[in-house]
Amino acid sequence: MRTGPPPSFASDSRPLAGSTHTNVQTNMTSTTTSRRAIPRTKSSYAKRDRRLAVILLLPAGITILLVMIIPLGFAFYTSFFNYSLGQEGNMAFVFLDNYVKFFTDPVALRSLLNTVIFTILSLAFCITIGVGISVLLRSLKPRTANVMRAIFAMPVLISPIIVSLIWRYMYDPTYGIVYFVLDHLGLGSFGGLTDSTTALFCIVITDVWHATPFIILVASAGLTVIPEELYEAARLDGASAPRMLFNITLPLMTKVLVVLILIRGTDAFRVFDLIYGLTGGGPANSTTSLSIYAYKQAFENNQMGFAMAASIVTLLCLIILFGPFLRNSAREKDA
Amino acid sequence: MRRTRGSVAIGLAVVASLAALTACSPGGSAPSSGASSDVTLTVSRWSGPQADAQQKLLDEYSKQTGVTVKMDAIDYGQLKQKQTLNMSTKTGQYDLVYVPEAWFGEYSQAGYLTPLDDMVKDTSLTGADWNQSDFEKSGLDVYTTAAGSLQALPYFAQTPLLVYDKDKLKAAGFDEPKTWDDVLKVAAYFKDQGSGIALPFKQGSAITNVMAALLAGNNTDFFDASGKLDLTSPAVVQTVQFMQALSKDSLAGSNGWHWDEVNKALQFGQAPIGISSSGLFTALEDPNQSNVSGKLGYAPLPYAQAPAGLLQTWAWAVPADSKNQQEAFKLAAWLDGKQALTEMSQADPSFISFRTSLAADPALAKNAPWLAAANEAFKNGVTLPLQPAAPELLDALATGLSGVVTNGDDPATMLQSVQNTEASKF
Repeated sequence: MRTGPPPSFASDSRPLAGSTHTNVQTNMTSTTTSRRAIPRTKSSYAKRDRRLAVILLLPAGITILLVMIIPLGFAFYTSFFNYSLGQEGNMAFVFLDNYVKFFTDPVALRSLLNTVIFTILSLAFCITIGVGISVLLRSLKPRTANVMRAIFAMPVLISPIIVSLIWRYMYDPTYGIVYFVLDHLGLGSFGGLTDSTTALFCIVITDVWHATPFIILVASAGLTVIPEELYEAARLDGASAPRMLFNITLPLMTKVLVVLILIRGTDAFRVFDLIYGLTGGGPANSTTSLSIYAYKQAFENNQMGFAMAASIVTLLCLIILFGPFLRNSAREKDA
Repeated sequence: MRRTRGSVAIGLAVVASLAALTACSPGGSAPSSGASSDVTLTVSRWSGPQADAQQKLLDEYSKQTGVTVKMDAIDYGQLKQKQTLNMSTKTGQYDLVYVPEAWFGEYSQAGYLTPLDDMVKDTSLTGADWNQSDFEKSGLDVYTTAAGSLQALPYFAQTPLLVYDKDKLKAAGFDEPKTWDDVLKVAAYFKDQGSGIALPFKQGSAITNVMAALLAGNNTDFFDASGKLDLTSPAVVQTVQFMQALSKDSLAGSNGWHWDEVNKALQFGQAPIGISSSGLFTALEDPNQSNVSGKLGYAPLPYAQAPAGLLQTWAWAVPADSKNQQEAFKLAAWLDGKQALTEMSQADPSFISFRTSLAADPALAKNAPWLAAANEAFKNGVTLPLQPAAPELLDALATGLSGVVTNGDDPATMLQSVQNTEASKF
């Protein structure tokens, strides 16, 4: 039972946001108290309300059950079996064998490592570049900033598979513009997509090109809620631009950044289309991600049970890596 | 109220009049050129240029017979999944499915396909000019089960071939490259000139297809005489060493190319020589699309012992859950008839059928200069391994070969590694 604002609000240094939130909280508390004052639990109104609530929630609940819980449960259940697509009648129970096989398969472990490296690099570059550009755009005149934002946003409108086709030709040593430029810089020997040591990094560059506009759009929206007065005050106090970035902008964008890390991170971890179109997982599995690995097991090697186990492992990794962010973001909402 | 009723009545009368007029118009009646039929057949195949030519043939069939034929042409990547889901759940959605040899064993063992042995003997279904002995035996064998039951009609074949610019090779003093040594010399020469040989050596199916054909040309196979996996035999190691040597003289980027990129490099004249798939050759000889049309020569893949090729085939099969099996077979037999096959090859010259009488047809060869080389490759043609565990073997080999041609991994070590992980599955 909540009896007042949580302690964090007392020490909240954000004057505008803090005061507004506290007022709302106070109003909510009083409303709750006044509601409790009416003994409704035994009344027909309360029963009717509950029934109405159940009826209204039912479609959403059934939808979640049908499209999320049951398929997930089915995937988890079938990960304990060996079977082929369309051969669900001939499933052989193998219990944890598929999971043991995954963690003893060097290709699976390589794909896990590739996925983690890809996610970390992509996330780091996307957030840094995206937030950086958003901050720079904020300092421009609104009209100029809007035009620039629209131009920067273009890549996000292209589907990932098309992006992969565009970049595949850009990276091609015979036809591609990347090598045309690199040749002029004397870097024509760059391995690109055909070298195991550079292929993953090339895909990260493509992903950053494609996903950074999304960060720019969301971060720009996040920046609009920061009061301009704070920057004016800081400028009067002689604060430098980096200090304003680290002491005002980033702390006040924490919630936005958490959401961005959550969305972009899970997206990067599940990467499929880009890699499939650019390298197909090669050369020598140097770019195989968990999604590509699971896809190959399911639809090329015909091992649906094992593919399900690989997918469940991907899900568990996502929960371990991004669960804390999700919990943190939910907590922030409660507060 | 009365006015409303009156309006409704007038409206209904107008609708009825329009309906009557429509029924009397030519568009509302059955096609005048063919018999009417209540049968609707649905055909499942991959989409792409050949599918467009196929659609025209199906329309022609509908005109002739009155049978409505719908073509469900989808991306190759999703085709097997969709076919399998439909046949395993017995939806009866498909009456005719386009099947490659790689899926045939699985479909057949699962009982998805109808045996065609009786139907091919029935001339009321095949037509009077059906001549089964006209089909390449190797094609019929691929779609015959171990018990001797024919379960699909072989339709389309393709094979990897060596493609070269005749003028450029002649100017450099080379004849048509035939053996491994020949092609290594040509590739090294052009590499020194700044290009090299274009190879489909991306990690994927193409590199294993090339390996299979090269193994056949070296009189060896993935398996020994007893059917056991044998990747460490000297002949197999020698073959992969040849692939590694060839890749060193390849065009920049070849290690990340699939068939289509190799074909583009040949088509635009950037590669004077390359290995591509016959199914894509139409673009090479189309003067509107190609910089080198009329200048290219075609040969079976280079060999160490004898010319050989890879049989990559597609066939028409009638699903066991089809509600129109006889009508579906009639359509398959019509499509596999000489007339329809000729029309298909005319529409898309890269379409090669299994009818031997068409293999030497000069009219078709005129538009398809690769036909002689393809037929030579088919004579000693092999298929990829078709065992249930074959996809895993080919996947492991594709990864290993990618390491050999990209990172310079030792072929013998790579093959030993794949042998160790995959041998128990065969």
